[in-house]
Amino acid sequence: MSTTASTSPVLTVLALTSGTLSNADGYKLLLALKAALAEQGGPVTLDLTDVVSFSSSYLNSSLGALYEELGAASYKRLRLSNYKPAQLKQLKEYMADVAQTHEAD
Amino acid sequence: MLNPTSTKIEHCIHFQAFLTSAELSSFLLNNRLDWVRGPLPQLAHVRVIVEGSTTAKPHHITTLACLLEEYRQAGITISFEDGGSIVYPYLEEIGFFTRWEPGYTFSTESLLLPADSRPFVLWQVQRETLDAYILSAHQHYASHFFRGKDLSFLATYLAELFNNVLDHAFAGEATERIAFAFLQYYPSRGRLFISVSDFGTGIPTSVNRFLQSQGENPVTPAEAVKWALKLHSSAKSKPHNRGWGLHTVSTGIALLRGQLVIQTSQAVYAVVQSGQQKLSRLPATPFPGTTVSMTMFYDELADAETSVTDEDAPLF
Repeated sequence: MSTTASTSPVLTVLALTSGTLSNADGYKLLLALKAALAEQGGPVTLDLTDVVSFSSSYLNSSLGALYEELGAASYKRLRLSNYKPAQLKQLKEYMADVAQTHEAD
Repeated sequence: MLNPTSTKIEHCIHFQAFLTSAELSSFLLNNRLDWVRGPLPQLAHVRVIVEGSTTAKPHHITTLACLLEEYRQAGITISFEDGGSIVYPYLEEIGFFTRWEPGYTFSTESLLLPADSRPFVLWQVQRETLDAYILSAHQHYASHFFRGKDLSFLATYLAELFNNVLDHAFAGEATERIAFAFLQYYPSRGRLFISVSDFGTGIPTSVNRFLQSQGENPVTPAEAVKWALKLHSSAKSKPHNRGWGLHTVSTGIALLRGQLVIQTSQAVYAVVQSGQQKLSRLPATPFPGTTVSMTMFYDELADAETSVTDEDAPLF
Protein backbone atom coordinates (compact mmCIF):
# COMPACT_ATOMS: atom_id res chain seq x y z
CA MET A 1 0.00 0.00 0.00
CA SER A 2 1.45 3.36 -0.98
CA THR A 3 1.38 6.06 1.63
CA THR A 4 2.28 9.72 1.92
CA ALA A 5 2.53 12.26 4.70
CA SER A 6 -0.58 14.42 5.05
CA THR A 7 -0.15 17.88 3.45
CA SER A 8 -3.68 18.14 2.06
CA PRO A 9 -6.82 19.66 3.59
CA VAL A 10 -7.93 17.45 6.46
CA LEU A 11 -11.59 16.89 7.32
CA THR A 12 -11.95 15.52 10.83
CA VAL A 13 -15.14 13.54 10.46
CA LEU A 14 -16.45 13.82 14.02
CA ALA A 15 -15.83 17.56 14.03
CA LEU A 16 -18.12 17.86 11.00
CA THR A 17 -20.93 15.56 12.08
CA SER A 18 -22.26 14.33 15.40
CA GLY A 19 -22.22 10.73 14.19
CA THR A 20 -21.45 8.43 11.29
CA LEU A 21 -24.67 6.44 11.24
CA SER A 22 -27.42 8.52 9.63
CA ASN A 23 -28.29 9.91 6.19
CA ALA A 24 -28.35 13.41 7.63
CA ASP A 25 -24.78 13.20 8.92
CA GLY A 26 -23.64 11.61 5.67
CA TYR A 27 -25.07 14.56 3.79
CA LYS A 28 -23.10 16.97 5.99
CA LEU A 29 -19.90 15.12 5.13
CA LEU A 30 -20.82 15.25 1.44
CA LEU A 31 -21.12 19.03 1.57
CA ALA A 32 -17.78 19.36 3.36
CA LEU A 33 -16.08 17.02 0.90
CA LYS A 34 -17.40 18.89 -2.12
CA ALA A 35 -16.24 22.21 -0.68
CA ALA A 36 -12.76 20.87 0.15
CA LEU A 37 -12.39 19.30 -3.29
CA ALA A 38 -13.57 22.46 -5.03
CA GLU A 39 -11.32 24.90 -3.22
CA GLN A 40 -8.06 23.27 -4.32
CA GLY A 41 -6.93 20.68 -6.82
CA GLY A 42 -5.04 18.28 -4.58
CA PRO A 43 -6.00 15.42 -2.27
CA VAL A 44 -8.42 15.70 0.66
CA THR A 45 -7.85 13.64 3.79
CA LEU A 46 -10.58 12.21 6.01
CA ASP A 47 -9.46 11.94 9.63
CA LEU A 48 -11.33 9.12 11.42
CA THR A 49 -10.21 9.87 14.98
CA ASP A 50 -12.74 8.32 17.44
CA VAL A 51 -15.05 7.07 14.68
CA VAL A 52 -16.51 3.73 15.84
CA SER A 53 -18.12 2.57 12.61
CA PHE A 54 -20.18 3.62 9.59
CA SER A 55 -23.67 2.68 8.52
CA SER A 56 -24.57 2.09 4.88
CA SER A 57 -26.99 5.04 5.04
CA TYR A 58 -24.16 7.35 6.08
CA LEU A 59 -21.87 6.06 3.33
CA ASN A 60 -24.60 6.23 0.69
CA SER A 61 -25.35 9.86 1.52
CA SER A 62 -21.68 10.87 1.59
CA LEU A 63 -19.31 8.80 -0.53
CA GLY A 64 -22.06 7.22 -2.65
CA ALA A 65 -23.56 10.61 -3.48
CA LEU A 66 -20.08 12.08 -4.08
CA TYR A 67 -19.43 9.59 -6.85
CA GLU A 68 -22.80 10.31 -8.41
CA GLU A 69 -22.07 14.03 -8.46
CA LEU A 70 -18.34 14.21 -9.18
CA GLY A 71 -17.40 10.76 -10.48
CA ALA A 72 -14.26 8.64 -10.10
CA ALA A 73 -11.94 11.66 -10.19
CA SER A 74 -13.20 12.73 -6.76
CA TYR A 75 -12.55 9.28 -5.27
CA LYS A 76 -8.96 9.32 -6.54
CA ARG A 77 -8.28 12.44 -4.45
CA LEU A 78 -9.50 11.00 -1.14
CA ARG A 79 -7.15 9.76 1.57
CA LEU A 80 -7.64 8.45 5.09
CA SER A 81 -5.82 9.20 8.34
CA ASN A 82 -6.15 7.99 11.95
CA TYR A 83 -8.07 4.94 10.83
CA LYS A 84 -8.36 1.34 11.89
CA PRO A 85 -7.34 -1.19 9.22
CA ALA A 86 -10.89 -2.62 9.15
CA GLN A 87 -12.28 0.86 8.47
CA LEU A 88 -9.90 1.35 5.56
CA LYS A 89 -10.95 -2.03 4.17
CA GLN A 90 -14.66 -1.25 4.57
CA LEU A 91 -14.40 2.13 2.84
CA LYS A 92 -12.25 0.80 0.00
CA GLU A 93 -14.70 -2.05 -0.62
CA TYR A 94 -17.65 0.30 -0.49
CA MET A 95 -16.10 2.78 -2.93
CA ALA A 96 -15.01 0.04 -5.32
CA ASP A 97 -18.56 -1.29 -5.29
CA VAL A 98 -20.03 2.15 -5.97
CA ALA A 99 -17.72 2.63 -8.94
CA GLN A 100 -18.41 -0.84 -10.29
CA THR A 101 -22.17 -0.40 -9.94
CA HIS A 102 -22.01 2.87 -11.83
CA GLU A 103 -20.00 1.30 -14.62
CA ALA A 104 -22.57 -1.50 -14.85
CA ASP A 105 -25.37 1.07 -15.06
CA MET B 1 -61.15 -15.32 20.26
CA LEU B 2 -60.68 -12.88 23.10
CA ASN B 3 -59.52 -14.09 26.46
CA PRO B 4 -62.52 -15.13 28.62
CA THR B 5 -61.18 -13.07 31.53
CA SER B 6 -61.64 -9.84 29.54
CA THR B 7 -64.56 -7.55 30.37
CA LYS B 8 -66.20 -4.72 28.39
CA ILE B 9 -63.68 -2.13 29.49
CA GLU B 10 -60.75 -4.34 30.41
CA HIS B 11 -58.68 -6.80 28.41
CA CYS B 12 -56.45 -9.43 29.93
CA ILE B 13 -53.18 -10.35 28.21
CA HIS B 14 -51.54 -13.58 29.31
CA PHE B 15 -47.88 -13.14 28.41
CA GLN B 16 -45.15 -15.73 28.54
CA ALA B 17 -41.83 -16.30 26.79
CA PHE B 18 -43.18 -18.35 23.92
CA LEU B 19 -40.70 -20.78 22.43
CA THR B 20 -41.79 -20.87 18.79
CA SER B 21 -42.45 -18.18 16.18
CA ALA B 22 -45.96 -19.56 15.63
CA GLU B 23 -46.83 -19.34 19.35
CA LEU B 24 -45.41 -15.84 19.71
CA SER B 25 -47.05 -14.67 16.51
CA SER B 26 -50.41 -16.10 17.55
CA PHE B 27 -50.13 -14.40 20.96
CA LEU B 28 -49.35 -11.04 19.34
CA LEU B 29 -52.12 -11.28 16.73
CA ASN B 30 -54.74 -12.25 19.30
CA ASN B 31 -53.83 -9.31 21.51
CA ARG B 32 -53.28 -6.49 19.03
CA LEU B 33 -55.28 -3.40 19.80
CA ASP B 34 -57.32 -3.39 16.58
CA TRP B 35 -58.33 -7.00 17.07
CA VAL B 36 -59.19 -6.57 20.75
CA ARG B 37 -61.02 -3.27 20.39
CA GLY B 38 -63.41 -4.63 17.76
CA PRO B 39 -65.60 -6.43 20.28
CA LEU B 40 -64.53 -4.07 23.13
CA PRO B 41 -64.97 -0.53 21.77
CA GLN B 42 -65.03 0.93 25.30
CA LEU B 43 -61.72 -0.68 26.25
CA ALA B 44 -59.93 1.46 28.85
CA HIS B 45 -57.50 -0.83 30.65
CA VAL B 46 -55.22 -3.76 29.95
CA ARG B 47 -54.02 -6.22 32.57
CA VAL B 48 -50.86 -8.05 31.60
CA ILE B 49 -50.45 -11.29 33.53
CA VAL B 50 -46.89 -12.59 33.27
CA GLU B 51 -46.84 -16.38 33.25
CA GLY B 52 -44.76 -19.36 32.20
CA SER B 53 -41.58 -21.09 33.22
CA THR B 54 -39.25 -20.16 30.37
CA THR B 55 -36.85 -17.20 30.44
CA ALA B 56 -37.55 -14.20 28.24
CA LYS B 57 -35.15 -13.31 25.43
CA PRO B 58 -34.86 -9.80 23.96
CA HIS B 59 -37.27 -10.58 21.12
CA HIS B 60 -39.97 -11.35 23.68
CA ILE B 61 -39.31 -7.99 25.29
CA THR B 62 -39.33 -5.96 22.05
CA THR B 63 -42.45 -7.60 20.62
CA LEU B 64 -44.35 -7.19 23.89
CA ALA B 65 -43.26 -3.54 23.96
CA CYS B 66 -44.63 -3.00 20.42
CA LEU B 67 -47.88 -4.67 21.44
CA LEU B 68 -48.31 -2.53 24.56
CA GLU B 69 -47.25 0.70 22.86
CA GLU B 70 -50.34 0.46 20.63
CA TYR B 71 -52.49 0.51 23.77
CA ARG B 72 -50.49 3.28 25.41
CA GLN B 73 -50.80 5.50 22.35
CA ALA B 74 -54.56 4.92 22.37
CA GLY B 75 -54.73 6.23 25.94
CA ILE B 76 -55.46 2.79 27.43
CA THR B 77 -53.86 2.20 30.82
CA ILE B 78 -51.70 -0.87 31.44
CA SER B 79 -51.02 -2.82 34.63
CA PHE B 80 -48.90 -5.90 35.29
CA GLU B 81 -49.44 -8.90 37.54
CA ASP B 82 -47.12 -11.71 38.54
CA GLY B 83 -48.66 -15.00 37.53
CA GLY B 84 -45.87 -16.94 39.22
CA SER B 85 -43.47 -16.59 36.33
CA ILE B 86 -39.69 -16.33 36.44
CA VAL B 87 -40.03 -13.58 33.81
CA TYR B 88 -41.81 -11.12 36.11
CA PRO B 89 -38.76 -10.31 38.30
CA TYR B 90 -36.68 -9.98 35.15
CA LEU B 91 -39.10 -7.46 33.64
CA GLU B 92 -38.95 -5.58 36.91
CA GLU B 93 -35.13 -5.63 36.86
CA ILE B 94 -34.91 -4.17 33.36
CA GLY B 95 -37.39 -1.40 34.21
CA PHE B 96 -40.00 -2.68 31.78
CA PHE B 97 -42.98 -1.79 33.96
CA THR B 98 -41.84 1.80 34.46
CA ARG B 99 -41.98 2.28 30.67
CA TRP B 100 -45.79 1.97 30.73
CA GLU B 101 -46.54 4.21 33.67
CA PRO B 102 -48.60 7.31 32.84
CA GLY B 103 -46.40 10.31 32.10
CA TYR B 104 -43.32 8.28 31.20
CA THR B 105 -40.86 10.10 28.92
CA PHE B 106 -37.57 8.82 27.58
CA SER B 107 -34.41 10.60 28.66
CA THR B 108 -30.96 10.01 27.20
CA GLU B 109 -29.67 10.10 30.80
CA SER B 110 -31.20 6.64 31.17
CA LEU B 111 -28.63 5.36 28.67
CA LEU B 112 -25.87 5.65 31.25
CA LEU B 113 -26.07 2.35 33.14
CA PRO B 114 -24.09 0.86 36.03
CA ALA B 115 -20.98 -0.95 34.80
CA ASP B 116 -22.33 -4.36 35.77
CA SER B 117 -25.67 -3.99 33.97
CA ARG B 118 -26.02 -6.90 31.55
CA PRO B 119 -29.27 -5.74 29.94
CA PHE B 120 -29.24 -2.51 27.95
CA VAL B 121 -32.16 -0.06 27.90
CA LEU B 122 -35.43 -0.91 26.13
CA TRP B 123 -35.70 1.96 23.63
CA GLN B 124 -38.39 3.06 21.23
CA VAL B 125 -36.74 3.57 17.84
CA GLN B 126 -36.74 7.24 16.88
CA ARG B 127 -34.44 9.25 14.66
CA GLU B 128 -33.75 11.96 17.26
CA THR B 129 -32.06 9.69 19.79
CA LEU B 130 -30.74 7.01 17.43
CA ASP B 131 -27.06 8.02 17.60
CA ALA B 132 -27.17 8.36 21.38
CA TYR B 133 -28.69 4.91 21.84
CA ILE B 134 -26.29 3.16 19.49
CA LEU B 135 -23.15 4.80 20.79
CA SER B 136 -24.21 4.31 24.43
CA ALA B 137 -24.91 0.61 23.86
CA HIS B 138 -21.57 0.20 22.10
CA GLN B 139 -19.74 2.10 24.81
CA HIS B 140 -21.42 0.14 27.61
CA TYR B 141 -20.61 -3.32 26.30
CA ALA B 142 -17.19 -2.42 24.86
CA SER B 143 -16.07 -0.87 28.16
CA HIS B 144 -17.49 -3.34 30.63
CA PHE B 145 -17.92 -6.76 29.02
CA PHE B 146 -15.91 -6.86 25.76
CA ARG B 147 -12.64 -5.10 26.66
CA GLY B 148 -10.00 -5.81 24.03
CA LYS B 149 -12.58 -7.10 21.54
CA ASP B 150 -13.67 -5.39 18.33
CA LEU B 151 -17.29 -4.47 18.97
CA SER B 152 -17.59 -1.93 16.13
CA PHE B 153 -20.00 -4.26 14.33
CA LEU B 154 -22.57 -3.62 17.06
CA ALA B 155 -22.89 0.06 16.15
CA THR B 156 -23.04 -0.74 12.43
CA TYR B 157 -25.67 -3.46 12.75
CA LEU B 158 -27.89 -1.47 15.09
CA ALA B 159 -27.70 1.48 12.72
CA GLU B 160 -28.59 -0.71 9.72
CA LEU B 161 -31.60 -2.15 11.53
CA PHE B 162 -32.83 1.19 12.86
CA ASN B 163 -32.39 2.91 9.49
CA ASN B 164 -34.31 0.05 7.88
CA VAL B 165 -37.14 0.54 10.38
CA LEU B 166 -37.24 4.28 9.76
CA ASP B 167 -36.87 4.06 5.96
CA HIS B 168 -38.79 0.93 5.01
CA ALA B 169 -40.88 -0.62 7.76
CA PHE B 170 -43.90 1.64 7.61
CA ALA B 171 -46.15 2.92 4.87
CA GLY B 172 -45.23 6.47 3.86
CA GLU B 173 -48.42 7.88 5.31
CA ALA B 174 -48.05 6.11 8.68
CA THR B 175 -48.21 8.52 11.61
CA GLU B 176 -47.42 6.09 14.41
CA ARG B 177 -44.20 4.16 13.92
CA ILE B 178 -43.92 1.59 16.66
CA ALA B 179 -40.53 -0.10 16.98
CA PHE B 180 -38.34 -1.11 19.93
CA ALA B 181 -34.81 -2.34 20.58
CA PHE B 182 -33.30 -4.19 23.52
CA LEU B 183 -29.99 -5.93 24.25
CA GLN B 184 -28.94 -8.46 26.86
CA TYR B 185 -25.54 -9.99 27.62
CA TYR B 186 -25.20 -13.41 29.26
CA PRO B 187 -21.63 -13.70 30.56
CA SER B 188 -21.83 -17.38 31.51
CA ARG B 189 -21.70 -18.41 27.85
CA GLY B 190 -20.49 -15.09 26.47
CA ARG B 191 -23.60 -14.41 24.42
CA LEU B 192 -24.88 -10.97 23.43
CA PHE B 193 -28.53 -10.96 22.35
CA ILE B 194 -29.86 -8.08 20.27
CA SER B 195 -33.45 -7.64 19.15
CA VAL B 196 -35.19 -4.97 17.07
CA SER B 197 -38.94 -5.24 16.48
CA ASP B 198 -41.36 -3.10 14.54
CA PHE B 199 -45.08 -3.35 13.95
CA GLY B 200 -44.80 -2.04 10.41
CA THR B 201 -45.92 -3.62 7.17
CA GLY B 202 -43.38 -6.45 7.23
CA ILE B 203 -40.62 -7.13 4.70
CA PRO B 204 -42.81 -8.99 2.15
CA THR B 205 -45.30 -6.13 1.87
CA SER B 206 -42.53 -3.53 1.69
CA VAL B 207 -40.63 -5.46 -1.00
CA ASN B 208 -43.73 -6.19 -3.07
CA ARG B 209 -44.84 -2.58 -2.88
CA PHE B 210 -41.49 -1.61 -4.36
CA LEU B 211 -41.46 -4.37 -7.00
CA GLN B 212 -44.96 -3.45 -8.17
CA SER B 213 -43.98 0.22 -8.34
CA GLN B 214 -41.24 -0.90 -10.76
CA GLY B 215 -43.75 -2.86 -12.87
CA GLU B 216 -42.53 -6.22 -11.58
CA ASN B 217 -44.62 -9.12 -10.31
CA PRO B 218 -45.00 -9.64 -6.56
CA VAL B 219 -43.09 -12.48 -4.92
CA THR B 220 -43.87 -14.87 -2.08
CA PRO B 221 -43.01 -13.84 1.51
CA ALA B 222 -39.99 -16.18 1.55
CA GLU B 223 -38.73 -14.84 -1.78
CA ALA B 224 -39.24 -11.29 -0.53
CA VAL B 225 -37.00 -11.93 2.50
CA LYS B 226 -34.33 -13.42 0.22
CA TRP B 227 -34.64 -10.37 -2.03
CA ALA B 228 -34.20 -7.98 0.90
CA LEU B 229 -31.03 -9.80 2.03
CA LYS B 230 -29.29 -9.51 -1.33
CA LEU B 231 -26.70 -6.81 -1.99
CA HIS B 232 -28.11 -3.88 -3.97
CA SER B 233 -31.70 -4.80 -3.16
CA SER B 234 -33.46 -1.87 -1.58
CA ALA B 235 -37.07 -0.77 -1.45
CA LYS B 236 -35.93 2.84 -1.92
CA SER B 237 -34.07 4.39 -4.79
CA LYS B 238 -30.45 5.57 -4.93
CA PRO B 239 -28.44 7.34 -3.66
CA HIS B 240 -29.61 7.12 -0.08
CA ASN B 241 -30.45 3.44 -0.16
CA ARG B 242 -28.13 1.28 -2.17
CA GLY B 243 -29.25 -1.99 -0.60
CA TRP B 244 -26.37 -2.60 1.79
CA GLY B 245 -28.35 -2.65 5.05
CA LEU B 246 -29.70 -6.15 5.66
CA HIS B 247 -26.97 -7.59 3.44
CA THR B 248 -24.35 -6.02 5.72
CA VAL B 249 -26.02 -7.47 8.80
CA SER B 250 -26.58 -10.99 7.47
CA THR B 251 -23.15 -11.46 5.88
CA GLY B 252 -21.40 -9.81 8.82
CA ILE B 253 -23.09 -12.09 11.34
CA ALA B 254 -22.13 -15.14 9.29
CA LEU B 255 -18.48 -13.99 9.27
CA LEU B 256 -18.56 -13.50 13.05
CA ARG B 257 -20.19 -16.94 13.47
CA GLY B 258 -23.19 -15.39 15.14
CA GLN B 259 -26.87 -16.23 14.77
CA LEU B 260 -29.62 -14.30 13.03
CA VAL B 261 -33.39 -14.78 13.00
CA ILE B 262 -35.78 -12.60 11.01
CA GLN B 263 -39.48 -13.10 11.73
CA THR B 264 -41.70 -11.18 9.35
CA SER B 265 -45.17 -11.81 8.01
CA GLN B 266 -45.36 -15.40 6.78
CA ALA B 267 -41.62 -16.04 6.73
CA VAL B 268 -38.97 -16.92 9.28
CA TYR B 269 -35.35 -16.73 8.14
CA ALA B 270 -32.56 -18.07 10.32
CA VAL B 271 -28.78 -18.32 10.09
CA VAL B 272 -27.23 -20.58 12.72
CA GLN B 273 -23.64 -20.55 13.97
CA SER B 274 -22.45 -23.08 11.41
CA GLY B 275 -23.57 -20.66 8.70
CA GLN B 276 -26.47 -22.86 7.63
CA GLN B 277 -29.50 -20.85 6.48
CA LYS B 278 -33.10 -21.86 6.93
CA LEU B 279 -36.19 -20.19 5.53
CA SER B 280 -39.52 -21.46 6.83
CA ARG B 281 -43.14 -20.40 6.46
CA LEU B 282 -45.71 -19.22 8.98
CA PRO B 283 -48.81 -19.72 6.87
CA ALA B 284 -51.49 -19.61 9.56
CA THR B 285 -50.15 -16.87 11.82
CA PRO B 286 -48.34 -14.10 9.94
CA PHE B 287 -45.86 -12.42 12.26
CA PRO B 288 -46.75 -8.76 12.90
CA GLY B 289 -44.19 -6.40 11.37
CA THR B 290 -40.58 -7.53 11.50
CA THR B 291 -38.46 -8.76 14.37
CA VAL B 292 -34.72 -9.19 13.85
CA SER B 293 -32.84 -11.12 16.53
CA MET B 294 -29.08 -11.51 16.60
CA THR B 295 -26.80 -13.46 18.91
CA MET B 296 -23.08 -12.76 19.00
CA PHE B 297 -20.54 -14.90 20.85
CA TYR B 298 -17.67 -13.39 22.82
CA ASP B 299 -15.19 -16.10 21.83
CA GLU B 300 -15.83 -15.54 18.11
CA LEU B 301 -15.09 -11.81 18.10
CA ALA B 302 -11.80 -10.47 16.79
CA ASP B 303 -9.44 -8.48 18.99
CA ALA B 304 -9.81 -4.70 18.84
CA GLU B 305 -7.51 -2.99 16.34
CA THR B 306 -5.28 -0.03 17.10
CA SER B 307 -5.53 3.04 14.90
CA VAL B 308 -2.96 3.79 12.22
CA THR B 309 -1.85 7.27 13.17
CA ASP B 310 1.46 7.73 11.40
CA GLU B 311 0.49 7.54 7.74
CA ASP B 312 -2.29 8.36 5.31
CA ALA B 313 -3.75 5.83 2.91
CA PRO B 314 -5.40 6.25 -0.48
CA LEU B 315 -9.01 5.13 -0.66
CA PHE B 316 -9.43 4.39 -4.36
